[in-house]
Amino acid sequence: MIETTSYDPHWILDNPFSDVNYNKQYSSHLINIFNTQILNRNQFSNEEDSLLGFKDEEDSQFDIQNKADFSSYPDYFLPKFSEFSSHKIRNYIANSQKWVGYITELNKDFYTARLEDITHGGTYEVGDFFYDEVSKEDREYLKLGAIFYWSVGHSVRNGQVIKESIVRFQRLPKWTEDDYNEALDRANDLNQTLKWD
Amino acid sequence: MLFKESLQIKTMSIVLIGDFNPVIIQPFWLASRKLIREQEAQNAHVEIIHNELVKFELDWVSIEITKSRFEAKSSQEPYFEPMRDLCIGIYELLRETPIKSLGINHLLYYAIADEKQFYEFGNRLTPLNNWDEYLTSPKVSQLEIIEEKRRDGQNGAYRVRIQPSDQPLSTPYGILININDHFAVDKGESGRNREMISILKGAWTESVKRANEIPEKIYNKIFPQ
Repeated sequence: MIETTSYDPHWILDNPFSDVNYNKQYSSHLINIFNTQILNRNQFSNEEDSLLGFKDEEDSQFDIQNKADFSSYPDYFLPKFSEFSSHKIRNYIANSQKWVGYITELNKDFYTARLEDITHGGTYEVGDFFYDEVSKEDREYLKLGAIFYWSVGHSVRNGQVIKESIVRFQRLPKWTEDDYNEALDRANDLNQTLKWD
Repeated sequence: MLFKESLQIKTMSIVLIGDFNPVIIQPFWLASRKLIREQEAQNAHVEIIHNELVKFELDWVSIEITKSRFEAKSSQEPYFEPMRDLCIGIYELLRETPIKSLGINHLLYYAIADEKQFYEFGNRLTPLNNWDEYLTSPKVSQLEIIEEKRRDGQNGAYRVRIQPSDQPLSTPYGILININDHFAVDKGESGRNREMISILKGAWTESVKRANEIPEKIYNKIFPQ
């Protein structure tokens, strides 16, 4: 929980939030702990050419037990972790047109799908897609009723604008016997609440 | 003018709060369960795999897991639904995991054309002349509005935060609208019955729709045509 000087209960401070920035402090704290562990481990390591090791014996005299501020230890080679919540976004795709497709027909060179517009909703369309446009590892999903996502738009990769059309098949775990049983139980429960005239 | 014409970057993140075992969720485990492609696992950029923290990136999603928090994040719009499926898939497999809350986060980055319009955006949201007597040249640095009781009747809250963009955009006058669509299990529930995963499946479409509508409607309200 975030430390606060507030006396009164406060909704925001009293609830573990699920937003993107909540853990920044916590994550940095964990990284400091790992760095301390790595440093401690390497202080007692005999491996001469360890990348994480001390440069010489004199350096190893630092008191590191209670300190994880590595800015004052420029000679150590420690892993660099990025700040997950604050890194710069270099590759992005926004304002694309997206559909979710359901395969309705498998033909010799192409498949036909019913397409629902995710971006604007409302209508549905029918489209044909060549098998060549499906990634090799997605081909096992080419079955009647299979679900895929199709999008058309512009991506930006390190400043370069690229026109892209992406087809990606839905990957979800297969239903287990428990799933079928749970669904049957839910259906039975629902059936019992229905009143028939 | 439509506000969405200024929209430059859209990021979505799915945050789960509960009790997790981070070290299970690694790229090759995801590939072995067919939740991602094998090639994606091979090309994953793994930052750290540790009992306390796992961090890695695929081309289209970043994953960070601690013992109390799971986050998947993407700035590539075509992959928002695959990212949702990935989270559902993981916790359909790890079905005993207690998950107490879920956040569907929408981060919308707008590039405003000029300084005057940028200032006016904040000024119209929170009239700054109220402060003129007490502060010199007052400006809005962050505004946060919360719906404590969700309108859909679910347990949780809805929060909209407006602040200057923390990402470089095509103009220096960037605004970030950060929406936290937060769901929580009822008091006393353990979260072991995949309640949050069911909500993730069921509430996704409405969450995306609402997050796209709110900035547009607020903009039209403060800048009437």
